[in-house]
Amino acid sequence: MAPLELHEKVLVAKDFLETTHGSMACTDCHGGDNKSDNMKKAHVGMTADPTFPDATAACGECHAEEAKLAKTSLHYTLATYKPIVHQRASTDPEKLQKLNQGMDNHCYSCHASCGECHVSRPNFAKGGFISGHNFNKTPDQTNQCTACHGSRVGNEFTGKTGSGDAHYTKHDMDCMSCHSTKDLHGDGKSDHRDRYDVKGLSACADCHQLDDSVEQHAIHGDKVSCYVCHAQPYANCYGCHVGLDSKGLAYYKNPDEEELFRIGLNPLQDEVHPEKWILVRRTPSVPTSFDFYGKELMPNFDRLNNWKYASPHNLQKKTSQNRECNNCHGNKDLFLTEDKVKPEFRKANAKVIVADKLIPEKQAEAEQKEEPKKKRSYF
Amino acid sequence: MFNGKIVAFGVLIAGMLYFAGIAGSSSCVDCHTDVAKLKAIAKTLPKKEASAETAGKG
Repeated sequence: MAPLELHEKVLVAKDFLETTHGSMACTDCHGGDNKSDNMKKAHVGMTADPTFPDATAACGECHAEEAKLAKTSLHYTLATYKPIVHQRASTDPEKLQKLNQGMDNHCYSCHASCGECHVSRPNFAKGGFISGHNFNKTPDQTNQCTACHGSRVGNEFTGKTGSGDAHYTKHDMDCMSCHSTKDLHGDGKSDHRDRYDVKGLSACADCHQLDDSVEQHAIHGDKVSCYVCHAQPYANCYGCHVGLDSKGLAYYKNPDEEELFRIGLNPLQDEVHPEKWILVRRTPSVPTSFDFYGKELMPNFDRLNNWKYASPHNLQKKTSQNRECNNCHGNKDLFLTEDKVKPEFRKANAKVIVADKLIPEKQAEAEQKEEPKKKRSYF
Repeated sequence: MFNGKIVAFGVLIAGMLYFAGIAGSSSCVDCHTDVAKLKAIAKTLPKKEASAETAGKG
């Protein structure tokens, strides 16, 4: 995605003025003083994005339901961050305050408002209109969705890393083909456990009927996550650190990244994810992530795993792991066994780590050949 | 006769408000639809900096 020139970011297309939104006075939404001929004075009291942190005034008059739900959207609130990180945090109020300061400076600087999905590039991607201030009903994959979800989701989906996702490369689907407004506009809940805890979250089964006509689906059923068989190796990050440089500008450092594939145990089996076997991704959090703001801010780091549920966006019908039973069965390399987790993180990831004895046994060659093909094989 | 004056006055006020509205919004769009003006203004503005310490792929 090429960066926008400064003038391009605020250039209003003349055809926008013919639209419903364009027929309103600029100041109705943005404030400022449209009577002034002086640029500085005209912009006093102006807000570039009138849809954040509350879209009620700007959008609510016509889009009441959307504006109301947006307040609970994780894109807006990032509401799961603090509850999750606080589980690891010190109970010392001074340390907690320092941790919150770090999170506010870094984690919470990233969000998406109504405007950042329907009008402009997100602030995270340095903003700017994507089509001359025209309002787009659905977000633009390149300029909006992957402007934030780029390094992992975007690159994996489009094949910049790996072979891409068949939904995109073979079927020309984009983000919105799966992620409907149910996913993105919020569900009214304010106590999401994590980002997968969203009512009506898109799922493979929304389109793919998991009936017994596919032999491997019948065998693995709801014991194995779809991703285990259909994902390719995906990005894993280690050791993110945040801080402010000598000019007070925020930085993020996440120098280590590698593509790999790890099957782990599901530590939170529930209705949405009942599977025992899931893919896990190494998230970049470490006990020292916020050390710039204070030492030992997360002394209870071990309370949560940092190998977490993964949903790589690089799905293919055929993958190396689903070509042969024994590509997974008995193949310790694919499983998140203890030796693949750094000693200091083994306690935190105890519920995810696969003990050697739990790895499914290798299938006998003869058994594989003799197995009658009563049902249509997936391969 | 009296009603006619009220209607005429109403039309006059409505017209003034309408043109005031157009004039109001045009002061913003005069610049924001003019590439040359915006380019000229952009040259005078300080560039936003990002930390040079940023590393990794985020």
